[in-house]
Amino acid sequence: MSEFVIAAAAKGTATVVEQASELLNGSIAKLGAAKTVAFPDTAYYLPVIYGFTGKKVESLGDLSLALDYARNLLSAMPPGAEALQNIGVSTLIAEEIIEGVRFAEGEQPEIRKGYHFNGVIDDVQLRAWGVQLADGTISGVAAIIGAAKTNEVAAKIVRELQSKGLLTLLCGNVNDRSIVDQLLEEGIELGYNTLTVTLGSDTISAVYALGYASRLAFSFGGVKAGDSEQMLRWNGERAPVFVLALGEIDELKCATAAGALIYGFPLIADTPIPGISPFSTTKGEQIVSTPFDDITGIDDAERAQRLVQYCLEVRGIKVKVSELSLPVAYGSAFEGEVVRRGDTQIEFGGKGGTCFEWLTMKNMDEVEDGKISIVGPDPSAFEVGANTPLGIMVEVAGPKMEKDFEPILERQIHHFINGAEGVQHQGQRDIVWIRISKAAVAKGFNIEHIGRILHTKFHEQFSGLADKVQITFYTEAANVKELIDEARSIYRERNERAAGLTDEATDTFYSCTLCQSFAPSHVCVINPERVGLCGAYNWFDCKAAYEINPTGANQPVPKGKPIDLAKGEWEGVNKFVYEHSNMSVDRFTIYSILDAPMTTCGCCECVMAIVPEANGFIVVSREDYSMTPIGMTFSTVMGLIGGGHQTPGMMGIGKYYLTSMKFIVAEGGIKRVVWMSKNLKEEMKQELSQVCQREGVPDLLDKIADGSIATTIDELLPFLEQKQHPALSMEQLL
Amino acid sequence: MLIDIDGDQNLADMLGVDLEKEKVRTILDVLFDIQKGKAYEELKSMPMPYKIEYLLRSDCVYESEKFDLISLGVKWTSGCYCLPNDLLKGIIPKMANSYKYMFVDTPAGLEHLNRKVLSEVNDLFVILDPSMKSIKNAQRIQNLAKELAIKYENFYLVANQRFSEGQEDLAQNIGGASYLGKIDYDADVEEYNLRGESLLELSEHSPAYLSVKRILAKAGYTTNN
Repeated sequence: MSEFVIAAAAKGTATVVEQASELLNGSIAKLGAAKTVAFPDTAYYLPVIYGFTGKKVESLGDLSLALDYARNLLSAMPPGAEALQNIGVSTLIAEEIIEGVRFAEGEQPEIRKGYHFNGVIDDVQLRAWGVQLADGTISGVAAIIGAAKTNEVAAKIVRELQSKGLLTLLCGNVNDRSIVDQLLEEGIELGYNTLTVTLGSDTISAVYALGYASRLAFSFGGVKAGDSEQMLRWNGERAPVFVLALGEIDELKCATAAGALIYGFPLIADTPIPGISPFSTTKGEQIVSTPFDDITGIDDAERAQRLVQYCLEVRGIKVKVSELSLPVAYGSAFEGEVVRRGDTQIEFGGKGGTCFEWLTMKNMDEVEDGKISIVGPDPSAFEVGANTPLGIMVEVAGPKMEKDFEPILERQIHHFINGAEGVQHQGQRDIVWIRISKAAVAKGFNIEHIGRILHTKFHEQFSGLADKVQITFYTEAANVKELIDEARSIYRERNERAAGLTDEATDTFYSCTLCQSFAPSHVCVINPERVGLCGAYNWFDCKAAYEINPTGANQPVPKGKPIDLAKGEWEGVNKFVYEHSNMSVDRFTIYSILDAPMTTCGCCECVMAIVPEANGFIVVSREDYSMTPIGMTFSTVMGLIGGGHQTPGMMGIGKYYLTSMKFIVAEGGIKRVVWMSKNLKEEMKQELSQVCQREGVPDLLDKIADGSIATTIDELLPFLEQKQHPALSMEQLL
Repeated sequence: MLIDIDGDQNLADMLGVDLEKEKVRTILDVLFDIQKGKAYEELKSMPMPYKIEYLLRSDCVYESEKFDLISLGVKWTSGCYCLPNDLLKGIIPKMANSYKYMFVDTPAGLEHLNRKVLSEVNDLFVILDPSMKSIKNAQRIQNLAKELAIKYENFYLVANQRFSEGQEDLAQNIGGASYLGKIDYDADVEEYNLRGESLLELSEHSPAYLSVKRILAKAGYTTNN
């Protein structure tokens, strides 16, 4: 906190308390202490005084008690920054006393140059807006005090706030020029229905804004009068209010700002403030100076726009973007729609074309929310049927956004764009194919609308992550080529990260019941570290299948409470499997073959079976027709376990499960494999060598027998002993 | 949208479309390559279901002015059908919404319809031979539809060109079905089929064409273009 501000505020509060005292005494002398004092059409009396003191003010005499309260705070002023609380409270009380007296004197609501100010917001409106504040229809409240640099700036600021769904309270002046004067001169309609409320032309009327906040806490927060701590906390946490001071800040404004600050409402000033470095915001910073002329922008209008954006960021206000307005219909009904070749006006990518989409995370100050730009020629001007290169770049910023979310958000581009009638979107990343129909173009749909769709939908569906979204379309072949190379290196990085996704990193596995037509009691549960046993689907595939066909065979399975993490057993998984296996399998583990192993339909790439004599398991590939050391071929084993029967000691797997960190961890992992089909060993040599390395037995693959070495137990055991296979010295399986 | 799920894949031929020449592949061709990890290196990172949808749309749809055509193809060597079937059931009906009409040419049996494409149709047209086997088959299909939970609004019977005068009575009294008429014999059709020419080229006065037009009008389809 700046010492300058504290010092100025201390002087301001002393002055205003004195002014309140003089006015009140004069008024009591004139009208008597019993003279009624009330804010019209409101409950909660004089709400600031009611909130801090718990006292109901109903007459001028009651105001005297409030004045004493303010005086006491002044005389007990703590040193340094701690003075803020006392300054703030005494200032607001004094200001409310002054407004109370003005009501008693019949001087309120204020009339200035023929314009009737609104003054206090009535209770009916308070409730109506309260609900809208709660559901986000009103995204926040801006209390503006002072006057803008010019009338145009004043108008632009208010328009900007309106467009972002903020309620704007207007008061104060600079050298007797008020923002209300400016807006009236600009012909801006002010009033409840345009979300603009004029409080008064002086700084004192700002107390109505804080009174409004107190009343919100009483009526929506259930806060009791007099419980000021609770009232301030509720406001700080829940009321999305900030104060924007336009023009010079005098002592009274500093003192009033102190009042706002203790409610938790930050002050943003468009002028320099001694002791506060411009544009520096850190979390919890409550006074921010953004000298207007130093704001980046090509003109004052753009500076005004940025100033508003800045205010929203400081208070952490998220704007709920208004409903999508497009020249064509929009909805999930249009997902999967086909735009036939003959109906196509504009085509991007697809066969022989180039089109990519890339969503990337940026810093807050690098993204301008809602900005949609086209770099290169506008495709609307292209001739019918021309296939042009296109790059769609979506930049997202938000304090909670993470690099890992990029691909998840990016994948939504497909769904978002597809929702527009007459637009077909297929693919992802650098394989994208978009068609826009002649009918859609005739209705006025153009590429900018795709940007609007993305902006709106990202805000709507990822409001927790995407605070700011900007979209750029590249239509110049050279640009597209350059960016696509960059994007491809990012896609590669993502692939590597995705490969590293662990079971612990998700709460949701996916089921696969594709094979239930012939194995009605079999359910596959597919998790990031265990591919489906047919080898066709991994976790990402299932997730995508669920998106494409939500009633299909791949459903989300919430893991639920863990039962045995070593064996991979969860309550949610058990429940799901029980319900979807015709109640024939009541539990199964994902990382164990001995205890309630996963069942098999019959499609599995490999089967595993225990060899008790060797203290390990064999892995037989479905392409291997020959005999195995357990005296059974692949098909004989399948005959035993296929069809959804749980057979401890035997299990079907997808071959890539062999490379997973979670491969039968309950039994000791890859070191338990004593025999493997030769074709599998050769085909997966590279991957398996890496696994052996990882498991600390680099030459393990050489110690694992295959069909060329052993087809009977009698051939297998001597080989394992000779090679000193690690399974022989591991804990006994049985 | 025409969908040929008959293994013979002759719907395209009848319409004079050479899928091979047009570089349009059958769905099963594409799935075979995906399963075997062949080709499509650039699609590798795409999850399987997206890959299937993308390729189905970009490689398997023959597009022309009046109609689009998809052919399922013949079953590939080995492996399980469940996965593509499940996806096709999600993809095809959604695509169908974009077309005024969807016409599915199925082999004689509804299993194919249900398993591969869709479980809800407006009209089922069953084409009859002049044989008791064929009549019985029509009744069997009704039962099968019930068993397979295939929903339809109308069950229509159409006699083929081999029916002669008087034989139509046979087809008219099958319970639960409406008989629409007979496709008239047309020497041109035989000729065109023999030469491998498109039936779309038949003259407007072709008896076969006129009879089909009549039959469709009876089923509520107007063919004014």
